[in-house]
Amino acid sequence: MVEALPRNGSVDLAKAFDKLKRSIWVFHLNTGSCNGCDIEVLDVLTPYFDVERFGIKLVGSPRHADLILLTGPITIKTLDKVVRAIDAMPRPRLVLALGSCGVGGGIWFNTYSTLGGYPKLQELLKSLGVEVDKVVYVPGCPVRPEAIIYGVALLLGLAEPKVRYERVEAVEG
Amino acid sequence: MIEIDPVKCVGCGACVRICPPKALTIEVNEKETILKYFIGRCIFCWMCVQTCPQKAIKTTNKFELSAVDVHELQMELVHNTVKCRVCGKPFITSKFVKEVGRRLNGGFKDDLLYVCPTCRRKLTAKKIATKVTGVE
Repeated sequence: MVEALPRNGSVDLAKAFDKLKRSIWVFHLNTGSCNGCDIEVLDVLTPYFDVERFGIKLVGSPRHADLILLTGPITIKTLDKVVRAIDAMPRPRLVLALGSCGVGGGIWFNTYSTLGGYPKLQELLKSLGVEVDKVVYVPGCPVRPEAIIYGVALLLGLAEPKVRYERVEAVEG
Repeated sequence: MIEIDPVKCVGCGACVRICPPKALTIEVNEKETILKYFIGRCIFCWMCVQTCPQKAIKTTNKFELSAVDVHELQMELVHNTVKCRVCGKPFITSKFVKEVGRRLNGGFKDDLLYVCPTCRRKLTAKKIATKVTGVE
């Protein structure tokens, strides 16, 4: 599985990454989600938001895809399929972790049957030697279609992140 | 996302108890009590907004919350920790002690207010025992 990876030519990879400014093809990967986020993903593709005008197209195989739209908390049952799907993608691999479940595991963050969000999957992928080039986390329960489009814009470097880590001291009253 | 008012919040932890996905967590250590809000796990149910006794949590209509790093989605509110006067364990925030004192209108003396629940139980039991038997 790991040997089948493309040769890790960093120059080629950087070039490919630079070329990736628009017309990214997406593969929708449901990892045990409740279908809320999946419906929002569909919303983005239907005429109201119509991201196909930007060249963002839903494809049927991860081998054709630049970006994986990952929804759900990654259940143990889907885990090997998820790893295989991500491994099947050509480099550069991009992942958009959608929804509360995709980002932090949602209300299933510490249950026995889920991995609990994308960060844990990424650790696992690293140990398997599957490299993911860029990840953007899009929280929301479910994610708003606008938030998904904004997440893709952030991924391609077209927008600036709006939330930052904050540490505030409480004011004694 | 929600916004926690650093002026109104007393760090009582009611929101932490009610939060279904435990997006809000509280960490008590020797120096400070940190109320953490992880947007990545929040399901935007507004249970914390409803339950907050100080009305410190506000709803906002921000939804474009994407981030490249998960740690960017973490918000922290730092309170001072008060230690128990008997056993010395950190147990509550200083603002919470003041708020309880204010609400009880002087019904609790300082010697009980700054004592942790376990020690307070022992102290009260001792007081009753002394009253009944007349022996220290």
